[in-house]
Amino acid sequence: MGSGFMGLEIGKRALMAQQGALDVIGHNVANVNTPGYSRQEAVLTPTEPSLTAAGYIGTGVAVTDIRRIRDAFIDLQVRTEMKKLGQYDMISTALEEVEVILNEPSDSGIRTALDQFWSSLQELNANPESDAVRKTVRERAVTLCVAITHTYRQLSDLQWDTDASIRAKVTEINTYASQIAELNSQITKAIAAGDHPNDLMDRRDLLLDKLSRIVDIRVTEDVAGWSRVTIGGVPLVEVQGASEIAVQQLPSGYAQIVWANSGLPVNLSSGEMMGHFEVRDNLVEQLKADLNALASSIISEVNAQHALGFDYHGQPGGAFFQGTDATNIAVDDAILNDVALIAASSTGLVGSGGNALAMAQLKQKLTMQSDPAMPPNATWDDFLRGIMARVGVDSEHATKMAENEESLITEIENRRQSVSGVSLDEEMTNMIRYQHAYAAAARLITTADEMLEVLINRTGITGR
Amino acid sequence: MRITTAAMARNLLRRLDTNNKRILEFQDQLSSGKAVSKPSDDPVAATKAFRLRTTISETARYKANLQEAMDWLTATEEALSKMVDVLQEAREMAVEASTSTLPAGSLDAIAAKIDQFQEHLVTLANSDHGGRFLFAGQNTLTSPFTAAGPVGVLDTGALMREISRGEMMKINITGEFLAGPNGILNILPDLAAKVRAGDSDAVSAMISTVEDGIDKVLSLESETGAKINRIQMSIDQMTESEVSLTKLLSETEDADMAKLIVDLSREEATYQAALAVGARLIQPTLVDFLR
Repeated sequence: MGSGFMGLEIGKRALMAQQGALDVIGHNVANVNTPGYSRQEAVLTPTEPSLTAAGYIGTGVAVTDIRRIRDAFIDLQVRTEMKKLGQYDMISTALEEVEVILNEPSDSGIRTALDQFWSSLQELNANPESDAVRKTVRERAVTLCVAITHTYRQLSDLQWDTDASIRAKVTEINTYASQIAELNSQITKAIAAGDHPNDLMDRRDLLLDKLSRIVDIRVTEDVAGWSRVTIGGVPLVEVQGASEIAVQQLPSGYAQIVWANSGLPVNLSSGEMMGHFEVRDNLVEQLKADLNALASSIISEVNAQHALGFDYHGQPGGAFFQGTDATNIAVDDAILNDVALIAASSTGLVGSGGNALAMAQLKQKLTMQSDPAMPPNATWDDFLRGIMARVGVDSEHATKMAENEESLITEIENRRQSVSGVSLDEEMTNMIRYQHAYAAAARLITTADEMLEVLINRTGITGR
Repeated sequence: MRITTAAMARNLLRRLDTNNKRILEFQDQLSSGKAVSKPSDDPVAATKAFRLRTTISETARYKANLQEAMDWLTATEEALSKMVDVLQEAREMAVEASTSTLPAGSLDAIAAKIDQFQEHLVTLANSDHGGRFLFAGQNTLTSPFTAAGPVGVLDTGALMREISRGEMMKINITGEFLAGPNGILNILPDLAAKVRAGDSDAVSAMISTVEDGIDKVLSLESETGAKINRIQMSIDQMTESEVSLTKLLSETEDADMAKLIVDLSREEATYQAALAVGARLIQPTLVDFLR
């Protein structure tokens, strides 16, 4: 049978355990709004029983563990979807901007400029002698050139903006990686010492979530508490620490990302970074190539026809456009200075507008092809329309995928909240429980105290 | 499944956000009047709108071409009609001069009148429309005839206009009917000479030559008139086309205002309800009820 002091000890242990549990509840309540926080639970276990003649007697309770409630599988799911969201979000945003740049369907895009140029050539056919009409043709041609070069330049600007964003994101990745490595060493030291670094692990998981949106990472965690992060199979964070990603300048001036220690390119398959590359190197690059094809076709076809005609003075036509593609298409300087040089006539006589008519009819000519190996099967209008349709479909697709991913991630986040989130109602209820237990433990101590007092002060005193 | 405080707040925010996004979309469409303002709104409709816009622009241009052609042809018709009038009067003179009972003085007077008619014919042959000569072929800036005959080599080139896709029309009458051995301009000087000579038989024979000339000009006049009719029909067709294309474009691109306003009201009501419900549910926790 234990001594009376055992009661005191049990009471003390109870008080401390309930107090500890209340502290954990307090921590949960304080962090109800902290992003990335997982609720913690004090694990109360009975302490080692002592063996007596009557058998084992319990000796009270202690807080043996502060458990972090978190489902690693949900974390894995979140990271898998985050990288897809990052990618589609980036692409969708960029394509929306491309749609604004193209400015179709509207009355102020390249299509309108082309239509008005054609219309002015028709008018020239009807009035080849008129100086005013010739000036109109020149102005419409200039407008067309400006529309094309301006659009091209805006697309280039978009590429450079994306490039700048890529460089900024590299810094972000490196920052996150080094922070994760730092947390790794702190966490493993704490675990080795037997502590529960729950809040540190929360911080690390939050960083991993943020990182997973930017690049497609794989995370493996081991028992000792190390989180190893790899990108495309190459380690970013491991036991020795964090590797760095660096920017390598390509001959074009654009950035390529490589591993700082080996110089090998980083193997991406998803994430915001991938989205940026997709936009810069595929989507916008293709559009620029298409614009170039359109511009060079316009230049060569119009110039070829123009050379077959005669100008106001009966001289054979020279060049109408100068330049080679969408970067530099412009009306020839000679014509800018003197509209009489526009070769409207097909016979050399001033009243003939036949060549202007032939130039106008280039609008219906099949000048573009979708496959370079095949003969031309599209007019300039068809080609422009095709570009616009493609951008529209791609943009719609990216937006819908991004929306889908958002919904998916919200679902998964809800599940994560359900497991790891703090419910104030729950914490309040538990608080009441532990509070009652604390009060009862205090009662225990009072009772044990009174018993001891009886024993010490009032037992064995006789005849006083 | 545990529902946490944060989960309820997050859900409320997400629903409100979805609501707001829809309201914003409606607002965009109502203020722009367009259901398709960028290709990704509806790629198929956008493609259709693109093509419709081009076709409408082409139709407007063809209409302008037709109008311009009509003006030219009308001027030509007028000039030809006046030529007929002049030749008719010359014929009257020829008839009068063919009677053999006139004194020499009257014959001279008649010849002088015929000379006047010839001058008038030359003026008519040099008719112009806005500074461009009607019967000069493609040499439109140079007056084609003098009293002595054509200036240099008469040009017989055609002036073509595209009046609809791939369809060409020649709008000018070239000057062969005026110049050349059987040309209108060679009849009256010949007649005047014969009248002066007093050769009444020769003058009689010339009456039919003048009549042939009148017929030739009349047939050109009716050819021109027929072209004018054809053009008027085409203009009417183009106008109708413009109207239906514009209507089609509107159906493709424009927002249905009435439907949008109803949708917007409904969405606003939903938003209000979401706000009210959210306010009721996210506020009370157990803390309010514990002492």
